[in-house]
Amino acid sequence: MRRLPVYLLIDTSGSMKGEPLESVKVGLQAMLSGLRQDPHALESLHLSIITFDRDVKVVLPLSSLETLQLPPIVCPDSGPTNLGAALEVLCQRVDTEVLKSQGENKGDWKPILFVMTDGSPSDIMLYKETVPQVKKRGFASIIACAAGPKAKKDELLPLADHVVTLDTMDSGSFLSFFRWVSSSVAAGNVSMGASTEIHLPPPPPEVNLVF
Amino acid sequence: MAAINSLGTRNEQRQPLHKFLLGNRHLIQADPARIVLPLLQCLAEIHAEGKSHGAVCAQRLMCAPNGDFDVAFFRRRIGWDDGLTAAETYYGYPSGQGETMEEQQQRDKQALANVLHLLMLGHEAPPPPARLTASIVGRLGEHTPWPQGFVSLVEHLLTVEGHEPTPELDALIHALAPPAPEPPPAAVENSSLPEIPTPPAHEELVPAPAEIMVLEVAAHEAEAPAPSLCIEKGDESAPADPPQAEPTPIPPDVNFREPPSPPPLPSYPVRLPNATVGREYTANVLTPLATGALTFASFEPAAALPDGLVTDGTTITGSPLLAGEYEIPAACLIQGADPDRPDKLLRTLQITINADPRSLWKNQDSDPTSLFWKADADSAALRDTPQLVAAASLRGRSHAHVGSCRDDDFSLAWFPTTGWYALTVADGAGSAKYSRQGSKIACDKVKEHFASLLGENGQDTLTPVTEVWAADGESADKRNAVRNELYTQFGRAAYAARKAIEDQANETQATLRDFHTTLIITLARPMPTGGWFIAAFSVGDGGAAVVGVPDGASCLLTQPDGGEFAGQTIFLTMKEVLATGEGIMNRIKFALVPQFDALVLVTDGISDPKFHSEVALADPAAWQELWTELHPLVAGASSRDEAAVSLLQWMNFFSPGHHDDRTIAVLCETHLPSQP
Repeated sequence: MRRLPVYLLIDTSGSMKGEPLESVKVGLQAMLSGLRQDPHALESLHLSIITFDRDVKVVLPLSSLETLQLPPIVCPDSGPTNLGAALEVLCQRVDTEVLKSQGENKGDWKPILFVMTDGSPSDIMLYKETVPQVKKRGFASIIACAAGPKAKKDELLPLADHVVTLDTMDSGSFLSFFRWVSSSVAAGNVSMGASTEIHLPPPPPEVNLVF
Repeated sequence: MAAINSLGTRNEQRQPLHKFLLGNRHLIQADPARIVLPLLQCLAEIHAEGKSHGAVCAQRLMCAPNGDFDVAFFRRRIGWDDGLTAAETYYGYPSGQGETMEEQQQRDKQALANVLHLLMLGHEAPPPPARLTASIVGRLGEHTPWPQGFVSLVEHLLTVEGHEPTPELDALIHALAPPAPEPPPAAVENSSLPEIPTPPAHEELVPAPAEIMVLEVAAHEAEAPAPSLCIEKGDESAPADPPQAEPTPIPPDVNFREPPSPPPLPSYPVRLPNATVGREYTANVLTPLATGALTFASFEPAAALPDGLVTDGTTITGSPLLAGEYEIPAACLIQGADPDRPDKLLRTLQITINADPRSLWKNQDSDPTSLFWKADADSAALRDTPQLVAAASLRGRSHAHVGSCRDDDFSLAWFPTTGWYALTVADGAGSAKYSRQGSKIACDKVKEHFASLLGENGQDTLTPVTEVWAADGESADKRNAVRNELYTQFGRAAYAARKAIEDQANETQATLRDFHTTLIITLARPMPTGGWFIAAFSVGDGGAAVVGVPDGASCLLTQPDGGEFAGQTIFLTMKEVLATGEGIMNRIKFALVPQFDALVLVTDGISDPKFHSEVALADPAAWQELWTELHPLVAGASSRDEAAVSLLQWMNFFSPGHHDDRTIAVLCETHLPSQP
């Protein structure tokens, strides 16, 4: 079975506490429900969730959509946005979890990465050093979401193939975003050639695609 | 969290919890989490350190004037922060009750549970001081239900808000959970926030139940006696019963104002492993139910289980029929329950039942008006050939699901004057918008090229060199001549195909990448000296092989161009593919075989599910296995067309995760007569 690995990096820095994080959780649940309606996703999608604030936590190791259950996601009262550290952890996880074609092994589909943040990387040096490392991991697509007015979309451009912004951090926006993630994943889940990237469906009104 | 004042000022500013509660009802009702949460977390921390608190005393829990609970004060009890002076220490306290640390911690939890209970009841009455005895502890809370709002709150704090329940906190929740009502209320969505019941107005205060005691040695501080609280009654004959275990409605003849009925109780959710429709499911329920020190003997669902699932009281088994998110309230029987306490607790079992992926695939016809449209399925057989030559191509489920076109294609040719067969399959890239046309052009052009070479009026330069080599198989020079001729002819065919695709792209004002396609060409001819000459050229994935060669050698005719990841391959339409002579030469394989069962070409829609790895693609046994599956289809057919249709039907096989277009072409011996 070829798997489609999808990594979600979610900002749990202090500013996400309260409604934003609750909205993210609702959004995640909606995303899962949506994906469970997609036969391709149900057969091959594997999801991992990594949260980052002061600490980076792999709250959900790469697990099949069929079996996975949404883990508790918590947020400290305050804390920096260590996106760089999160990307480091991501690289380690991808190296160990994503299978490449080799001998008797069948490779997975190219992984897809979604990064959601409401700020800008606090560990900016590490972030800049790690972006090229992430690029080497062969992601079919890297999509970053800058949520809310304080998110710095410019910081995300070097990392992501596509950057989207959410004007507000309410549940409606996050719900739209994660539904869009769900449909993007379904769209990316077709036989893809080496030179191609996934085709993103048009985003809903709450999600602004940055070109 | 409360600021830490000097001990002196703190004692002036702060007051015992129950006094505070009496004076500040509004505060605790407005934001009880502020007090409860640090308390729970602090005790969990203490326990995590392998310590016990010793005792938890409602009177001694200190609150700042703003209602913040003084966690620092709590921590000092076990010496984590600055030590307290003797006067400030509760010298009468035992340092912990129980023989073992586990017992002591369990007692802590019990004590804290009682304190929390009081915390919620604080608006009703101050707890009377009492001497701590085991029997009192045992009876605490026994006849008084935990207020539902409070339980909801604690569960909410520990589950919904994402405070990951540690085993300690978890056990505490269990200790606080209400007995399962009969029948249990319908479960509510766990996303709904529990509401705290509005406190009764002051006039409605009722006497505290006598059972409420606290873990306190009353001796050293003179507590004000509990004020005797009166019920304001409009009717003197009304019974002044203390509140009973259930929040029973007040009899209508009593002139109380009706207390608001508590909101539905979100009982503690317990998630079971996911199930899938149509697949056998077995889940032990008791294991996920158990938390902390609390285990359960059995459970009884208070609502119907999802269709297809049954339970024996300990496990849920069966084959679910309907997908969805299910929440099933269940009364759970506590293992070794204290006979004086409720023996059942209400839990909500949560199960996600996935749909059977097969049922989710849609089959939407492609739009015949779309540019370069082709039929969703195609099959064909050559009619007058000595061997059976048949092919079939079927749109994959991933395309059928969204109503897009088949991208694969094939072409078959036999040139009677020279005796050559040319079989070609091509797989258009799923991500390229006109790849269906790319694959079609490639197959057509290859056929055209070999027709001009090997057909009726062709300048056949291939047959002579192959026959010379066949007559002297050991000769490297003669083999080289074949190789060079194949290089020329395959190269020209591939170039012709690419040129035609380029022209098409220009005409369509699209790019070459929009027409990305792979290509597998095989040539085969029976030699006059016996045996067969077989050659192949390929770009991209999929594969071609000669099956049933006696010594098992030279099976795979193609070297698949797979990448590190699935779906990565190269295409005929990429510049680098035909850029160097060496590059082209490496794509050519040829052999003389004495005999064989079949020549088989497949696109990756078949090779991916049928071969477990690229290594397996080179394994003659794996190909033999595929042929064993296919042979009855073509052998059992009553006509050549029917053989092709059988292949088409076979290709509809279901393999999870493999839903690409599938195309196969075969050449084999046959008893079937030529068709007109």
